[in-house]
Amino acid sequence: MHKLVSAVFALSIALSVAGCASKKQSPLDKMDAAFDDVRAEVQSVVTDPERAAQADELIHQLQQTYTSTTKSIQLRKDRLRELDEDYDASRTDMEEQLELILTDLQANQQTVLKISDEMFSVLNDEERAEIGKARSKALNAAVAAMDAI
Amino acid sequence: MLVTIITILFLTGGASAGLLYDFGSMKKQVKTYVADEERKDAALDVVKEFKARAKAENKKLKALKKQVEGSLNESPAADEQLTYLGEELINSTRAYYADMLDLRFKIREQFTREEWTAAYAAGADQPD
Repeated sequence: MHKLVSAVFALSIALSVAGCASKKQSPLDKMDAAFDDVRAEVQSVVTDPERAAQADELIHQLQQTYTSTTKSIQLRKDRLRELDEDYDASRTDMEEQLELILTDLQANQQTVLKISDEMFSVLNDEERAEIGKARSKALNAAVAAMDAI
Repeated sequence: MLVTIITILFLTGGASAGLLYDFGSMKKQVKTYVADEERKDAALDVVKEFKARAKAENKKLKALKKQVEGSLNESPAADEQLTYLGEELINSTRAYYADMLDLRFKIREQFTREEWTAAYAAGADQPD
């Protein structure tokens, strides 16, 4: 597998996903692991089974949202890489792919905000604090994984 | 806290991928594959522009992240601020992408078709 060595060209940055796929643990795998840790923590902190199940479902939805967005952006970046490699690629075609990435991100933002609203109503202050402390390490790993994409 | 951190993740993840240039490789490939000295110098100047623009964007993203961390309390009332910051991120990234495209076409002008193809092929053959 190849790294983003073709970084000669500006947009190669956005195309670095292909290189990441060769690592032992992909960014998506790391993100999944981080979300799984958060879900496990919720199960241990939230003692009410009904609310624990609700919180678990919401975190699952977040996980799916990020996974779906990441996969979609990876496809856009793969296409961008092809265009970038093409000496004759048009600016319009490249702009289109970049705009699609932004559209993916905007949709992701809206979904995350909606889920965060629901999460607020499910967890109490104490639970939020406890989960936040315990899982900060795992979530930092998730941030790092996202940044690696 | 949980949702806030995840929200920060969504604000900073993905779009910031546009900052991950390997400027060392970029510079090396220009030096290796652009045969003409005048074009080579011009291309290296563009590499510097890339680097400066990415650095500025990185700084902006870090400031945005701090804003998110400092202003949110994971309440529904924070949604308006989050929405605003999310739009800021999208707008900033859109401008950044446009500038990167400008530079991409600017540096391409310094390569011949053969040089461009050779540089890409060399990149693809390089192992991790």
